[in-house]
Amino acid sequence: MKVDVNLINPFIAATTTALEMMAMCKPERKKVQLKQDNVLIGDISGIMGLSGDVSGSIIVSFEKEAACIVVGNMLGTEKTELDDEVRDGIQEVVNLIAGQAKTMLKGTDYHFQVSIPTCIIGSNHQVNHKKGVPCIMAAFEVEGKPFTVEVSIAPKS
Amino acid sequence: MKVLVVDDSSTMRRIIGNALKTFIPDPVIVEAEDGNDGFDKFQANQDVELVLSDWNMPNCDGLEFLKKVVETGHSAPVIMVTTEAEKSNVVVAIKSGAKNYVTKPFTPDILKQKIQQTMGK
Repeated sequence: MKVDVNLINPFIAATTTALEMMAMCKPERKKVQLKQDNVLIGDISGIMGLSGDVSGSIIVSFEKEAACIVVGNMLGTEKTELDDEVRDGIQEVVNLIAGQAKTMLKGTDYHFQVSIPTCIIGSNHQVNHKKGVPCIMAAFEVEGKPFTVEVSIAPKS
Repeated sequence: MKVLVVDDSSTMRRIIGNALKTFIPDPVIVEAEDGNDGFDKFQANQDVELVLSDWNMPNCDGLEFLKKVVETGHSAPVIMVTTEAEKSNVVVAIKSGAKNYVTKPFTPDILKQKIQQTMGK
């Protein structure tokens, strides 16, 4: 399947805006690449299925320190463990990113409907995007700690 | 001032609560985690002066919750606070009785401005 890597751009813009406005931190974008495996870089991942005129998913995966920085800033408190508050916070981060990207993709073949986000915790965890739908990954750092945004999306045929 | 905050994310409820405390003196914040819980808390807190509600929530979403609150004829304004930023959604919410609309993500200043605009201050 032909892949337009520019599809990741609304999600990159949404990530930057969401973290700047709600977590008072400026994420630094690193590489963008097509992803071939199912292993996520982080210790905690927020996941949301995308539906409507497309099928796909978005996953935001954070190393522990990055997750604690982001959610701690959102809550106005220091976080050091991947507890229920961080879990909920990461779900909200994926919700904020998907919501904005959805608005930016209005009027395109890739406009989607959001669903209720979920979260997975654990090192080297794996999540399968939909088979046959390409996955584009954008890597970021926040205060030097890594996280990624993965988007796998295709119009329904 | 008593404010009902309806959002399935405890993080977002806390962000909103922290923001409210910066410009409302001693706010009483009642939290609810979906539209059903929100309507129960709304009925149990008739002295509520402002309602802030998310849209996408499990069990009972924000639009359904909004309609139920408006049906009661209570004077507390409802402001939608949601990632649903498309104009068509804003129109639906306003036609259903929402008094204002805040798009996530937002800063405390944006929330303050929208609330003051709504409350006529």
